[in-house]
Formats: sequence, structure tokens, C-alpha cells
Amino acid sequence: MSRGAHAAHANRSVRTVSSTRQPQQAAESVAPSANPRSGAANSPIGSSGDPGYRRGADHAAGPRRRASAGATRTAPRLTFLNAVRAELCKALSLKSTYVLLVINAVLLPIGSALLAWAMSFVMSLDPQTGEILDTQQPVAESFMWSAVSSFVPTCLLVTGIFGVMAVTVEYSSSTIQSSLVANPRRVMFLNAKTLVVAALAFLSSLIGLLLAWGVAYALLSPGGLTPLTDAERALPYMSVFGGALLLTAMAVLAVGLGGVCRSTMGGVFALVGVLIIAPSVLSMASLVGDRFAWLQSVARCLPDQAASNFLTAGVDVAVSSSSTNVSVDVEAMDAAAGATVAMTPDASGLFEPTWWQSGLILLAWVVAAYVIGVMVVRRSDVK
Amino acid sequence: MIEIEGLSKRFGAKTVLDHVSFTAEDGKVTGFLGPNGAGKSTTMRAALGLIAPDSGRALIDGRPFAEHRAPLRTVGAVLDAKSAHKGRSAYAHLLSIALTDGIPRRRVDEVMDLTGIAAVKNRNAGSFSLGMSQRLSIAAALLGEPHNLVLDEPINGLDPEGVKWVRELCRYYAAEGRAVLLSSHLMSEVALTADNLVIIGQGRILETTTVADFVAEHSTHSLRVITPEPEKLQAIFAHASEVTVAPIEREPGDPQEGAAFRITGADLEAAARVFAAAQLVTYLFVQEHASLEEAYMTLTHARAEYLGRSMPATSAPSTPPVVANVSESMNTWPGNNDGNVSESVESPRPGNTEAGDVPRLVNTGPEDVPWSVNTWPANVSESGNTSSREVQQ
Repeated sequence: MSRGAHAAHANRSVRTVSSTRQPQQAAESVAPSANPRSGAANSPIGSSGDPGYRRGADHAAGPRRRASAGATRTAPRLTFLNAVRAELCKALSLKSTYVLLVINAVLLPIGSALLAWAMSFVMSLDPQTGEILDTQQPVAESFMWSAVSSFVPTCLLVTGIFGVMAVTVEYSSSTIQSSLVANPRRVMFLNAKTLVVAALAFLSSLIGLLLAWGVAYALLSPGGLTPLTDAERALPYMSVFGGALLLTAMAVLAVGLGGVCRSTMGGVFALVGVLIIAPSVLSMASLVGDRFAWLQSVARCLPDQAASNFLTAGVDVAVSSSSTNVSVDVEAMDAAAGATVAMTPDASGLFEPTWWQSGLILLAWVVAAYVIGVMVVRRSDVK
Repeated sequence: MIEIEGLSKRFGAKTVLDHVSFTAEDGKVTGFLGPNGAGKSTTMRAALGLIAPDSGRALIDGRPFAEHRAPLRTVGAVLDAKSAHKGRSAYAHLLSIALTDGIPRRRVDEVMDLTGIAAVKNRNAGSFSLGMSQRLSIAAALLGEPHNLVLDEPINGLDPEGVKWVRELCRYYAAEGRAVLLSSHLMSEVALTADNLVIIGQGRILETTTVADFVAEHSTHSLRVITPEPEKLQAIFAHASEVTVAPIEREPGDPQEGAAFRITGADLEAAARVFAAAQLVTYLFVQEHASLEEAYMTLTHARAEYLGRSMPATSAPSTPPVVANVSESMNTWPGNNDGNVSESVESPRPGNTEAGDVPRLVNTGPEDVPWSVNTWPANVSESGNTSSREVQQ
């Protein structure tokens, strides 16, 4: 039909007839719809003749029958535990999960090995002459532990990306739709996801740090280890569990960032901005002049420095050739002992948080990022 | 039951939904029709809480979707054909959804079997064709044997067998007393499947009706006639205001001679009798059904409708009224015939090539016809040139 003829009929739509279809076909296509229920009323599935469909009908009726027959099985419903199981299934069915977690678990011992190897080399030199000694000098055990956690700040980026992607992949692949139809409670959805992300990040970090311990011990123990002082008792736990907790906290913080950005590109960039760009910008700016020195105080509140400071557990591990010259940050230990001690400004007037204050600062980062992420995810439309 | 109550939504400056209200009843398939961008998907997403409306609300089985304790048993939704992560296997995708509501693994295998993707269960969803992805989405929707099905263009990408299967699925679920909301931009598809019809355009509900009513309202029959005697045809219906005779384009396969007309508002049998009595020669005389698709398009394409109203002056036949000398009222359509059809105005239409060949309609009494109405003439080739042309061809 020509455009003109079509237009001529447009205002009489009721009488418009398709001219592209043969009349008989048109009649056929309209006829069933004139009484659409008749087929279904007679035989909803019998008329189909489709075995697959018939099978479907049986299936559809099956579980309901079972459910009514006996209460052996609880009715399917949404619980937090079920949501966690679903998130675990999702995480473990993606290759990126394994790639990131393995990178995390491998980087940690690699960093430890590098530092321990360098140390064992230094320890085999005569500090005065620089000649290679026959026997390696003993190393402080505190140093070994700092080697174990040496790559934790680096791996913050890895678990961070893992956390970001856990959320953003849902949005980029539009699985968020089916996820939220299966679980419309978005806060529960994100909490379940975060729990799984945190558990996997912690597990991977713990394995990585235990491997790092093994590597460092293997490289440094031949020369002998001087035992930890009383003030350093916490160092082993801090290096392994504290390091794993830091990496886990970063993953949770990143889930929040992922929720805010809801795109992998944006989330990873936000992560890099917080972990790498902001610290370097602040440190460079603080060098401009004394007037900007206070920026260092700000830099110390950023996640990466807070994490590094937290890891020291207040133990200032300094390595010297004598290898016993480990100075303990007495002030920090005092601060830790006295729970009511306020933020302690150092001599230059700059804020220098103690290790536990750094821990709290990091916790504040995690909580803030996560809460904002949850709020954004809860309010944003899923298109 | 899915109740949409006064949903409005703006995305930036664009009003996507404007007080959309309708109900998808239990036991019925509700067809949700509209062109692309009309707000179908937005409405469905709002019903499932994926999009927060600016005003209004959507209730599923009497409650907002988020308040249901077993969401997958409440609603199964196909919102997007490509709803699975490319790097995740089809089975893992379905399992992760099933686990959310504690649906047993057995059911995952069942729905894969049901939708015909059991053979590719361990393949990554990214390697699926559009049709296979659609089947995967449907499988996910069926996991919880939901009481409501929300299907957003579920037949996109499906092969004919798949389309038929979805149609039967909808009918089966409705027959079980569940509510099925089926969106489509194809009227024909919805007409075959749905009971109720909701038509949306530019974010507004244009019509809420049943398919049966829509068909009854919009499928008025019309007659397609090809005749070498257009003036006679026009004269027959000249005084029947409820009947329209409009020239149309010839369809492929139609006789090449004569002029084609569409007559609407006239009953087939009555028209045939009047034609016979008036001895109108027709090369083609068939009844046609209105296309629902066109009725729907006219409804949704509001702008096109306005455009159409301003155009008949150029496209409608601008010939002066051709009134034949049909003195017997019996030979004209029994409409508003006031009886004064005695005048004979001859004005052949310039565009009609047949006009010159057609004998003037003066004195077309029954005695002029060389054969009786109900017998085939033996001497057809010697008869008047009005009928000999086709026979000679």
C-alpha cells in the first residue's frame, strides 16, 4: 500500500486492511485470537503435541505435589544464608575470581622472598669491609615478620579489584537483573556478596601470608634468628592475621566503591585514585613548602598509609648490620596501652597516628565506603 | 496478580512512564504492547522493584515485590535475553539464582531440560546465540515455578518452534491460574497468546481491553473488488454513507485489468447480491479481515495518525461524484438512498485506463446483458468488451 493510501486509511483504522497479506492468511491469523481461550480450555498441553512441553507440564506440577505430600523439605524461600550460598556460587563460577585470588596468594610470598633474600645477602656481608662473610649473621625475627607482610600494601590493589569487580560485573553483564529478581532485598544482596568477597579475600590472603612466612623462614633461618622482644610479641599475629584482615578490609572498601560506581572502569579507577594517585599527589604537594606540610597529615589518613602503619603494630623495624638494633616505638606502645590517649601530634605539629589509630582510620574508610556503596546500590535504578 | 497503579517515571527530562495503571489478572495472559521505547520494559522493571517510580506503585499478589519471602516463587521474569555473565556456565548461572531462594539443584536440571538447553549446560553463556540466551533467560524465570510470569519480549531471537513453545507456556501457566504479563511489539504474536491487552505508547496507556474485544472492534471486514466499471461501483454506494469505497493499490497476483477498490462497511452477501442485481462486472471480489497489526500501529503511532488526517485530500479519489443512471433502488446499496438518483453524470476518472473502454452506464438495464446472471455464457467472446478482455487473456 502506498504511503498516501495508508495515510488515507489511517483515520479509519478500524477499516484498514493489510494489503500485504493474502486474505486467507489474514483470516487464519486472526481466527484463533478471536477465541483465544478455547484451545487452552480444552486441553492446555494436549494440543501442543510437543513432548518437551508435555514434560514441562509434568515437572511444573511435580514439586508442588511433593511439597504438599510431605513437609520433609522446607519450602524454598529467600534467606540470608541462601543469598550467601548463591553469591559463593556466582563468585566461584567466574574465572576472574580465581585469577585475582591466585595473584594475591602468589604475590605475597614473592614479595616476602625478595625481601628475605636481600636481607640474607646483606647479612652475609661484613658491615665494615663489605666482604662476604663465611657465615651469615643472625637476623632479628621481627625483620622476618616484616618481610612476610612486605607485599600487603601492594596486594591491597589486588583484593581491591576483586572487591570492585564482585559488584561491577553484575552491572556490566546485566546479571544484576536476575540477581535482584531472585533477591529484591538489595541490602541483603550486597551484604551476602560482601561476606563472600571478604571470606574469599581473607582465605586467599591468609594462604599467601602463610606461604610468605614459609619462604621467609626458609631463607633467613639458616643464618639464625634472634628472638622477638616482649614488645614485639604481637608481630607474628599482626603480620599474618593483621595482613589478611587488611587485605580483606580493602576488598570490602572496594565493594563499596564498586557499588558507588557500578562500572568496572570507574570502580577500579576510584580504587587506584585512593591507593596510588591521592598519596603521591599529597606527598608531592606537601613538598612545595612548609605551608603545605599539613598535607602529610592528610596523607597519613589515606588507606594505604593507614594500612602500612597498622601493619607495624607499633614496632619500628629498623635493620642494621648489628641486627639487634631494633628500636621500639615506645610512644606508640604507651598510646596503645592507654586507651584514652588522644591523637598525638609529633614535634613538627603533624598528625602521626599510632598503629591502632591507623587501624581505626582504615575501619572508618571501609565503613564509609561500604555504607555509601550500599545506599547507592539501594537507590539506583537498574536499567 | 500484578497490579500497576499510577506509575510515573522520568529519566532526566524525558517522561518514560505517565500514570501507567493496569492489572495482569490471575489465570489470564496479559499482552503488553507498545513500540520500542514506549515504556514496556520500564514498567516491568518498576513492577519488580528494579526501577523506583517517581510516583505510583506496583503490587504483586497484593504486596510490593521486595516484601515477598520467596521472590522466585512469586515472579519469574525474562527481562533481557542476555542476562547471564559471558564467562559463567549456563548451569552455574541458573544454580546461583536457584540457590538464592533455596531451590533444589534438581530443579535446575529440570528447567534446562524444559527449555532445551540441557545439552549445553556447561558451556559459557557468552557462547550462546540470541535464541539460546533467550532460552536460558526463560529457564531462569521458570526456576521457582512462579505464580506470576513477567516476560519482556521473550520470543526475540527464538526459532519458530521456540516461539510456539513460549506461546504454549504462557497459555499453560495462565490455565493453571497464574498471571502472565507478556510484552511484545508484535500485535500478531500477542493476539495469538493473550487474553487481555494493554497497549502503551510514549509512556501512556492507550488502551486496556481484551484481545477478543480488540479483534471485534478492529477486524471489521472489508471487501476488495477489482472491476472494470468503477463508476458503476461508486454509483451503487453513492448514497450509502456508512459504506466507503476507496481505490487501492493492486496486490501481486491480482488481475491487471480494472480498478481495485476497498469497500468497507458493506456485508459480503448483501454486496454480492447488489452487484449481481446491478450487473457489475468484477474480476476480483473477496472479503478481507482488517490487520490487527495496522490497527495497533494506528493506535500507537499517534503522530502518524495526525499526519494521516491531513492527507486524504491528496490521496483520496478527487474525482467528482460519479452517479450512474441506476434508477432502480434495488440496484444500489440500501443506505441513505433518498431516491433521486436519476441524473446521469459521466465523468471518467482521468487516472483510470479502463474508463474509455467501459461502456457508459446509461441504460444498463437487465435486458442489455447477453446472459443471465446465474449461467455462464457460451458466447463470451462475442459479448460486450467489458468481460471479453479477461477471457481473452
